[in-house]
Amino acid sequence: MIFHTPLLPIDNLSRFMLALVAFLSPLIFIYSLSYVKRNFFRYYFVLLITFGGMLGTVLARDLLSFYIFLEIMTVGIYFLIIDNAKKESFPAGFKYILMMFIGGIFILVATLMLYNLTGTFEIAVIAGLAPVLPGAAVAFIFALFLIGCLFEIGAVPFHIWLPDAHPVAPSPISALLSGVAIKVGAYGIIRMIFTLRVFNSALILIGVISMLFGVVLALRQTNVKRLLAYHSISQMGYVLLGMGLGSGIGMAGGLFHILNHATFKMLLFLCMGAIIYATGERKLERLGGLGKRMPITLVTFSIAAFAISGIPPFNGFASKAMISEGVAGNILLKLVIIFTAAGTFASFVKLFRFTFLGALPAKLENTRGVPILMLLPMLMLAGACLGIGLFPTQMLSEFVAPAIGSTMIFDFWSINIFIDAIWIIFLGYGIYILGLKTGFLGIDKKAVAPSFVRYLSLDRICCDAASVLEHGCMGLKRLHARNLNVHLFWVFLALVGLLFMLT
Amino acid sequence: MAHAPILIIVIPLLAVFLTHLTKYIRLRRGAEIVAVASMLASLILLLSMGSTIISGKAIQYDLGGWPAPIGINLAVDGLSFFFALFVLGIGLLIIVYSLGIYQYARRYYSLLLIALSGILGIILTRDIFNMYVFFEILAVASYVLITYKRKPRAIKASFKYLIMTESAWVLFLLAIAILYGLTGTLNMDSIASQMSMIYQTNPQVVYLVFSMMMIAFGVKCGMFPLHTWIPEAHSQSPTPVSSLLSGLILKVGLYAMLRVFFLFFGATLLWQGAGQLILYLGIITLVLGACLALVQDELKKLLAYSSISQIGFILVAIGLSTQLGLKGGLFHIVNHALIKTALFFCAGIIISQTGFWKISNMKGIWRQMPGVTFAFCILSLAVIGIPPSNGFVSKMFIIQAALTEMNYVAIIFIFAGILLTAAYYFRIIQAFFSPEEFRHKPDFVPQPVGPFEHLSTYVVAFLCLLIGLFPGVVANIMQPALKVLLP
Repeated sequence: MIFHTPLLPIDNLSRFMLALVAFLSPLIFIYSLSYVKRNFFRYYFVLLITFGGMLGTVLARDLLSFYIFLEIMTVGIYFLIIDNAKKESFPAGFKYILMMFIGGIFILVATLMLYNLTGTFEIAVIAGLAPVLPGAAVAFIFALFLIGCLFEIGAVPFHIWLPDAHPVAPSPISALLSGVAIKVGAYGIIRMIFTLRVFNSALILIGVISMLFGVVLALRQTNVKRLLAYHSISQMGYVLLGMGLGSGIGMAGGLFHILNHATFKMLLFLCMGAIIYATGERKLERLGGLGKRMPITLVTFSIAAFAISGIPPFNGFASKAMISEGVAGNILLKLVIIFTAAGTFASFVKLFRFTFLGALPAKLENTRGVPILMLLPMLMLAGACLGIGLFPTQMLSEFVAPAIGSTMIFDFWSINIFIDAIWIIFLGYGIYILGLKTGFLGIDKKAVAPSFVRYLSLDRICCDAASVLEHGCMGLKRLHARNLNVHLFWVFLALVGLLFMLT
Repeated sequence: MAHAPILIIVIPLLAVFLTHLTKYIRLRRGAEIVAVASMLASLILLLSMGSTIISGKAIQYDLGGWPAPIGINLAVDGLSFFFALFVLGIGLLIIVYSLGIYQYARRYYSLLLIALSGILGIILTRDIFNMYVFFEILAVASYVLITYKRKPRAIKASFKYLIMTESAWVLFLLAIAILYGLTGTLNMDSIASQMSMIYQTNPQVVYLVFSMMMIAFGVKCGMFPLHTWIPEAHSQSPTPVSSLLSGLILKVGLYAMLRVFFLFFGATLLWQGAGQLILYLGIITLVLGACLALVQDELKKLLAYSSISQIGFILVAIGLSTQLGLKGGLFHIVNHALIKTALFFCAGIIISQTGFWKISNMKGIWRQMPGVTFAFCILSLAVIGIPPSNGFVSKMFIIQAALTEMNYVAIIFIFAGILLTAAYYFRIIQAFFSPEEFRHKPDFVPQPVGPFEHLSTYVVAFLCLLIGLFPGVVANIMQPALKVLLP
């Protein structure tokens, strides 16, 4: 029943994801050689297990194996998140693992329900049977699977683990988490869409909310890695939006954005990792003026920042252009896309300004560059960002479009895309100036935090629920008398109760 | 070999006397050798019957040559073979673990062997009064084992266990007496054959008998609201005895429930309502145990509450009483016995090395004991039900059974139970990996922990992964047992 199918790619989609995992993860292995100082053996032991789990998820030919490898990956990442063993990494890891288990159980239940319907776990067989299955049941199963995968992705409203887990993890692990691990959830959704031949336009809503929510909160952050984490939410919103459109171009754009986001977000995390490694600081207030000390990081970071904002010719623009082409006609969605890109640009202007420009704080006088083993993966990723950005047409026709089984031609060099890019730059800069003036960016202390936000925060609601649960359990513990007489009384009460209930 | 069924029970019982006689011979660690040898002998005898059992036949044995309705009758069928096998295996592990701690302790090994032979007797007998006798043998031995170190708190815990179980056994005895009065026989098969007739003529009596037996087995297996003896007895007894309690004694209650209820009431209409009752009691047990474990700071007590919670899972599976549900339930019985035995082993090693009982004091011990921490992590993942461990397989079967039955209440609570389990085990793991430098208890001399303790712990942790990767092996042994329960 378990492991009865070989681990081999099913189709080009698996091969696409396999290439993503297999080419990007080793960069983390290289980067970590210099980055990791303590518990070297434990770190690599767990990293290899995680890598195996990731490969397994994309190679799985049956849904049960997918679930099994997903959980292996999750547990591995938990131990990597707590690897820093700082005080705040444990609550974040705890949140991560519990939310992943919730998502995992959704996926498991969906898988088992599908098994009860079809009698098999094999994806290829299920895909063959899908047209004859009852529609309502399929829609329900798809919804369960979707929720499970949204937990893995960290889409709003299941995102609360993501901004906590990224900053506390070691930087290469943040890169792995954002670059590869959350993509596995997206792969799960695409796989399910193709298997069951259903799709849910709720994805558009979730995508849009994630985009706006992520970018607005990212603008406010001053912890460099937390800022990037919020951008992961927002960028995965693009992917979900693309998938939710249901058209070929939207799907291809979403898949392309998975690839692009993986490269530039990994690069961003590795750049910030280099800064943290060199300075030991992760707060924007305490950074600045590093441009002269770390020129290579500056260059790679700039490439990634342009890529994530969707400025040609860096890779982010290609997939964003496809997605915005996919929503053509819907002016509201188009506006959301432009606004999100502008907000992204604004927050990267902020990040750039407060890390690389300005005066070097006295504490950071001795900052020096980072080892070559850390620079190498960064340069390779920067090259990838630029390469994909310069040849998006070839990338699409050779690599992305075959993954979803279509042949697609898209004109990446039309004038509209450049107009969009100019809009993004101007609007983004405007948002940056406006944010700086009003204190929304949170750099100076006069930042406005409306008090009602606190009550709307999902994180707060979950924490409150958890503390209610704990108080409940404490109450239960107190109710649990230690008195033997009481316990004997319970025994006889149980006897009476049983008799009563049976008769 | 015709006498194999009785020899399986009698060899450990005879070994009890031999352990005491080793005082008079010049044999180093004679008691231990006798204990291990007797377990191995029983295991070999049991395995010699393996091929017959797997092929679906049962071996009957009439004690003293008296045929069934008159004399006492032993039977090895799929169910009892399955249980006897894992009882002997885990019993052996517990003895191996004890080898390091209790050297030259004849009294300890003899009590352990009495308890184990009592368990084997319960499993193999087909005479209900004989089952009661073996239950009492087991109970007496375990009362003394819990208080082996003569700590005041342990004596108190043992007293509670004594009162609770004995009051339950009184009810069981009463139920047996009623059945004997109605049917004129104590043989379980003969009673079962008359059961549906009794149910038609006098259902009230059947309800009464069922309730009293339910209380008796419920106390033994820790069903809500009869679970109250478990936390104290588990946490106060010596480590191998905690393992014995959690791994085997709780499971014996479940065995009796499976055996007696399915034989007596399985065919009657009563079972539909009763199954639902067990299901919902299981759900309460499952959630309550997990909630109490969540706020528990004492490691062994937490493990005890976790046992209650896991028993809840098994009760849910029994309550579903479908092919798939029972498959999951039986599988989880073995898995939980293995996992919890080894978790108590880990807890024992940690406590004897550090002197701390509370999780909040165990911060950062992974540097001191990386091996034990690693084993603990694997075992806790197995308890939670994370693949690729054995716990995943059994929980998957249970969830699937609930899904097939469309019992969404059960699914939601299983869901909650798994999450709570994850929450409290990761709380421990988080403490183990905490950055704080571990500080020893002042003026505490760590007791040496030998190879036997580590060996038995690692073997089980490895076994958990192995069963998770190749569940088919256990499933094959389980198949005849399922056939006995649902013919």
